[in-house]
Amino acid sequence: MPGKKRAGPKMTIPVQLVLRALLAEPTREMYGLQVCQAAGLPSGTIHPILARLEGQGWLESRWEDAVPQDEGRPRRRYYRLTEDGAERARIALAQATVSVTALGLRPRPAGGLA
Amino acid sequence: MITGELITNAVAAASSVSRIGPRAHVRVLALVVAESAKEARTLADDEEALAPGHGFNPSDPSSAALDARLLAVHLARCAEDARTLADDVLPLDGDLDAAGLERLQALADGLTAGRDLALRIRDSYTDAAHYFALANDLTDAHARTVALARALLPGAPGRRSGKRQVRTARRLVAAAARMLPAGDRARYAEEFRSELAEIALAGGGRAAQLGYAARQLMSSVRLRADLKAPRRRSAVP
Repeated sequence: MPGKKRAGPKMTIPVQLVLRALLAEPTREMYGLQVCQAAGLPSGTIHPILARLEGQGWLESRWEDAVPQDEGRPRRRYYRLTEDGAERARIALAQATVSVTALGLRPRPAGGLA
Repeated sequence: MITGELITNAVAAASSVSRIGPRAHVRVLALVVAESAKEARTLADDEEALAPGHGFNPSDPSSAALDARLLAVHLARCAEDARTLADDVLPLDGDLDAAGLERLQALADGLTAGRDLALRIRDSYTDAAHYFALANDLTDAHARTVALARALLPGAPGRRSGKRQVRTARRLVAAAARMLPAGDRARYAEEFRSELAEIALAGGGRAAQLGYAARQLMSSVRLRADLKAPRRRSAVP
């Protein structure tokens, strides 16, 4: 809708870290623990962020296809940036970086996936 | 009366217990095979009583009673192999070394031979139905042995390894999921369980698992708020 600002998540530092981790390989699906590891965040913080991003349409998720009995564990829930979400994440991160720089802080680099 | 159904049910029940380890599994298998051996011995006794001239006579290899006796002896040996395998070789849970794998495969081969023998004599025996049931039991036992061997191979999908899951951690993540909106509980309960299992499979001990579970519980209030917020869902259910 012209003139109306589209809703997006609040760009806290943890949110930025998650987005940077996901943007490092935008087409790669990751489950929660992998996102934690890639973002360098403790496990308790990740699901609220993923839920928020998913609720905003930046992320999509699905269950893995594997059979739990074969894998010896319940199914993983995989997350991936949507096409629109990846674009909006890049823009939001660029704006956030400007804000952080203005405050004299340095954001963590993206990457470092296990 | 053959105890095939009872045996099959016992094995199925034991195998369905997710926490049963390979050692307990093979102990159950040993009991099953021992029961089959006992049944075969009884059948051989009956056949020898019915046809005294065809009793246990090594010089008459065509004798059904001889086959029955050989089967009983063979199954008794298989049962003993299974018992010693469980006691001496198998780990409680986890890796199986090359020697253990070789013995497990030998047990599977022995059960195959027993099944084939039972099938061979079923038509010439006084009570073919008993031998047919016995062969079915041995086929089932053989399949389970092979499946166990495959599951214990290093790197096999579904092989149990790493640390056991801590019960308290499982309860904590279940409690964390119960804090969430009703429509999201099942999804997050499974997701949390999956991640807890990943930690355990990766060798994460009690502290790591409890730490994960406690963090999920502490963040569940925040997650609940995020899930209840107006949103545009794009998730695949």
